[in-house]
Amino acid sequence: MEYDVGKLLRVLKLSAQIILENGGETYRAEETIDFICKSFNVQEVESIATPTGIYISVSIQGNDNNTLVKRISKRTINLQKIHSVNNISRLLSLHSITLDEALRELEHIKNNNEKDKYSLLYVGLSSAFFTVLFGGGLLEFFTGLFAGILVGIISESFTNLHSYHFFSNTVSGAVIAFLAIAVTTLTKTGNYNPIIVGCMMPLLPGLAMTNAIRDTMRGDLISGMARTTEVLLVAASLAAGAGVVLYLAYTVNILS
Amino acid sequence: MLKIILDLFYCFIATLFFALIMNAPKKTILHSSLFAAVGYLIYINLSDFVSPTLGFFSGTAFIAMMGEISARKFKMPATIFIFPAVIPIVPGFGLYETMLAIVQNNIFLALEIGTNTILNIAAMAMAMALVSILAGKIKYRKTKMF
Repeated sequence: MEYDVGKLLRVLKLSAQIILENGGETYRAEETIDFICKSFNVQEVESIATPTGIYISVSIQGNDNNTLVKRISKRTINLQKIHSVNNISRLLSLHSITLDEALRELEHIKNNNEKDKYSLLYVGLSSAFFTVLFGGGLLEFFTGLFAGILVGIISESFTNLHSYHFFSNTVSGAVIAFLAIAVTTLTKTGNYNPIIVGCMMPLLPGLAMTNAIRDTMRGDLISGMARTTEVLLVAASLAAGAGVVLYLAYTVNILS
Repeated sequence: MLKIILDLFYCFIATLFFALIMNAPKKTILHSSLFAAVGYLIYINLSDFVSPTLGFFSGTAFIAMMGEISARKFKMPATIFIFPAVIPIVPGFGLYETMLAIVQNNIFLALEIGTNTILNIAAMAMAMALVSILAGKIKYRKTKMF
């Protein structure tokens, strides 16, 4: 079977890149590369995926090597894209689509960034129901809803900023804590704790936390360390934002 | 009893919207929300009556198991199911209380709660790793048999 090595490398690069940029695990990226290469009878393939970049080296007959390096700078979470890439690698390995078709599909997946028009509302409702789950009442529900929508607006408008994770989480934490304390102090009822925790739940790097430990246990030390650092950064910036507001509230004796 | 049913309902809805934020494929959303609710039920009961760490472990193990089963059924990566479903169990309250204790200048309390929280997160990771290893084994055997 004849095929272009450059095209194969581009397909490998795009699929690994989409997986890593949208919250997939590093081993999934490596396994996808191996999976596709196996179905194309590639003799030697080595890949190293870390959360910040991929290195792929492919040798088809076993003599000349083709290497590709790709830097990953932006990481969000989009499960639909992971599913689509998984689907394409499956089809590709069954040879039901050609490399050209796969390349076109992958480009389409990569550039398809349309958002659900209600996504702000989803953040708000998710926060609000987490607030109620942690023991809030009706007042807490609506404060959580409002704070959640604000957080959605903040993280959307900060997307293109340098050091995005740090700034958006610090500001979000501060806004959540401020709203929660302001509403509960002004109305003199309710509890601010469930609001703060409930609104922070969607922002917490929940799976990244467990993935960091799991990667380390698997022996993927570099991605384990990288994920741990990312988790610490997000959690610390959230805590810093909320902590500053809480600290101020304690010092001016709004809270006791 | 009513409180448990209400909690299940809240957990279901919260996970549903969280899955929508994370752009989960439409046909997986109801499944992962259901797993989240049942996993949360296991977690809350065990941590109230037995021990919190066991609660975190069992709740996550259940969700991971259901995730692996549905991954085989739908031919999708297991993460798509596990990621939204595990969110209600993540010890957000523990992390928040640690931060609160630091703000209140109570370092010993912060250490105590913080260590507990990290242990609980480790228990969750252990559960997930264990289930994914077992799932891999089962898949291997099946391909060998046929």
